[in-house]
Amino acid sequence: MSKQVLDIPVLNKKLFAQMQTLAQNPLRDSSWKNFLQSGFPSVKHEEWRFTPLENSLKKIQKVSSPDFVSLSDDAEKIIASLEPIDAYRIILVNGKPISNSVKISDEISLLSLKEAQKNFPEIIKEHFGKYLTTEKETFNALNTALTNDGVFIHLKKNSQTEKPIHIISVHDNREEGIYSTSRILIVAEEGAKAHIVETHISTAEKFSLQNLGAEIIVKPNARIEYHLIQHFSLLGKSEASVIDSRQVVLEKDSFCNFTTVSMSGALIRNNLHMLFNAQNGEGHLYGLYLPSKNELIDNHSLVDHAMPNCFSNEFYKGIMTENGKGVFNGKIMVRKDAQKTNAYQNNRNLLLSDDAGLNAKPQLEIFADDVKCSHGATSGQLDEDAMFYLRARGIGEFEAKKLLTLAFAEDVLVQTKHEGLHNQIDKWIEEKLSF
Amino acid sequence: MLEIRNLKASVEGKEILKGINLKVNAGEIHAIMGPNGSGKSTLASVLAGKQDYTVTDGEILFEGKNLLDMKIEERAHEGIFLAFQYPVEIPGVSTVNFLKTAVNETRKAKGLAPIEAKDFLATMREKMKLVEMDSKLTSRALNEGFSGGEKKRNEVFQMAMLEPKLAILDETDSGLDIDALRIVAHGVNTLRNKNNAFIVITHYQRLLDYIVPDFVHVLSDGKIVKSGTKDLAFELEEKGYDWVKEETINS
Repeated sequence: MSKQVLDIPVLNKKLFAQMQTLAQNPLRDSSWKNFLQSGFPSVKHEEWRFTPLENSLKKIQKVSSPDFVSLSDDAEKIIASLEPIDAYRIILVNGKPISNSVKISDEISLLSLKEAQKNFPEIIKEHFGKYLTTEKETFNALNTALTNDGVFIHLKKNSQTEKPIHIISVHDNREEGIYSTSRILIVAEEGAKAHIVETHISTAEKFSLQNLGAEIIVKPNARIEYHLIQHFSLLGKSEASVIDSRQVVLEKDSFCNFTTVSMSGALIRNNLHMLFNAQNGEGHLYGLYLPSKNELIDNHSLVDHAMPNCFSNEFYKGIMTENGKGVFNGKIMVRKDAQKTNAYQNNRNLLLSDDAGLNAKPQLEIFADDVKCSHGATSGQLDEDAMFYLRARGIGEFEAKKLLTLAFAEDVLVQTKHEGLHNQIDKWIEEKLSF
Repeated sequence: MLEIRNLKASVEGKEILKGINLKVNAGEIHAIMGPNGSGKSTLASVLAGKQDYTVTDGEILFEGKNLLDMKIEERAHEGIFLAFQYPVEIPGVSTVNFLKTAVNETRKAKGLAPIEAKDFLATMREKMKLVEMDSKLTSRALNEGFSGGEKKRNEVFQMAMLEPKLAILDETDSGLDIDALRIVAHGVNTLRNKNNAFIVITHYQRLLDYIVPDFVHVLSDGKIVKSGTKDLAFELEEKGYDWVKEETINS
């Protein structure tokens, strides 16, 4: 057996047992086979070099059953405080929605994935699993094999939401070692517009791991603002972890602004893939990650320019404290047909402690000849001259650090375009820095 | 108010200040002049507490307290203000937010409650008039993209907001046209009173036409080699710094 694969037979058995309880279908079947073929990657695997999974995977004791789990008091408390307060909300516990549907309008549907299978079978059939490839992508394969429920959002042609749609995902880790699966499918039809916020929280300090898969399809002329927020240690240090794999597909003349804010989590791996599937698409990927004590946050992105005349801009910033570890791996692929592509990538990192770590790997693969691409990565400490300037005005060292760190985060946070959300994240960063 | 005794300071092992003695009383304006590299800006930085410099000998007393024992921000809380020669651009921090934090941190150090938002805004409006600063600048990021003149006016505006006891103006005139120079000088002259003091560091006599000093000191090679009244500045302008150097050697 190759050293690139971890051998954890006990876990495989549990996962298989879980799959056996679900309704069988060919996609599930082939996905499971793909999972077995790829296996869990070790640090010898090129894409997982800085993100060791072995310890986490071995902590898994229970593969979450699809039974309904109620919201804990702690979860309710956190949820009540989450921005955006005024939103259409759907709440999930360990990947499963606690309600089957949330009424928005005749044109916009927000449902559990299970309910959607009854109401929107054609749309599901057309899109589900189409882009989140299961070949050689272990976690996608495992996700597709074990998916039982999740969230489905459908926006009809030219529809528009008045308020943001807010997916709140509670990782209930009152029990030790829960592995859960969740899945999101969003289809924005031609000319539709929406602002979607997705917030992941957890309720206790114990270990849990969620495998989340998401497909977001943005049809011609549609516009999506998306904010993914991961903050597992809101109620004190949590061991909650997530492997989040998502595929955004941009069709002709469409637009997506995808912002990922990773506030806390023992292990967070974001595989954000954006595919330009037709001409004139515009995509922005913004990211902010703040790993602190014993946390690892890994952003692996792929911007795939398959068609000509598209624009992409990726801008990620990291703030590492204590022994927090950040990984940024950003790949821009410009395929042969994708002439006149504009693709930009920038990654900047702030290391606020000697023990903090960062691995940045920008990758450009360009097969077209008429393109504009650039990338850059930097890491450093707070600017000493700026610190001196602030302190010379009477601002204490701690406050000065806080001001400069928030300022560093600002050009990503300004992308939230929602005052309440922006302020809430600012407040979280302040809290995180005062540990 | 301020007493500097035999101050020696070095940077990366190289001695820059070689025994400075200076006494500044409340109500006085002292000008420190000198050629490039004489140690003028080093003296300003050491007073403000910049960590790049190592004080190897001597002491600085500010109102009887040992300044060298204090952190940078503590010096500011005691009433020392450095108007920077090169104000730092800080993207992402608005001037308003920065100043509010500075004012409140200073108040906190004095055991006072944070300033009321409306009082803060009223004070700000008043002080902005003093240096004819455009109100749009305060909502922008601190010094980011400000012109040279705007940065210097912003320094004097901050000084007006923080009302220091001792302000050190480090080559505030450099890069200023005559109108900006007049505005900056007007700010300083309005703020001066019998309880505060100023140290004006400059290369040229020009600024001293607008901010009239009580004393002029000439700094050369890390030492004050000559002190006098404002007439000394005119003499320097006429004869150049070599004159002082030669005189020092001859004596």
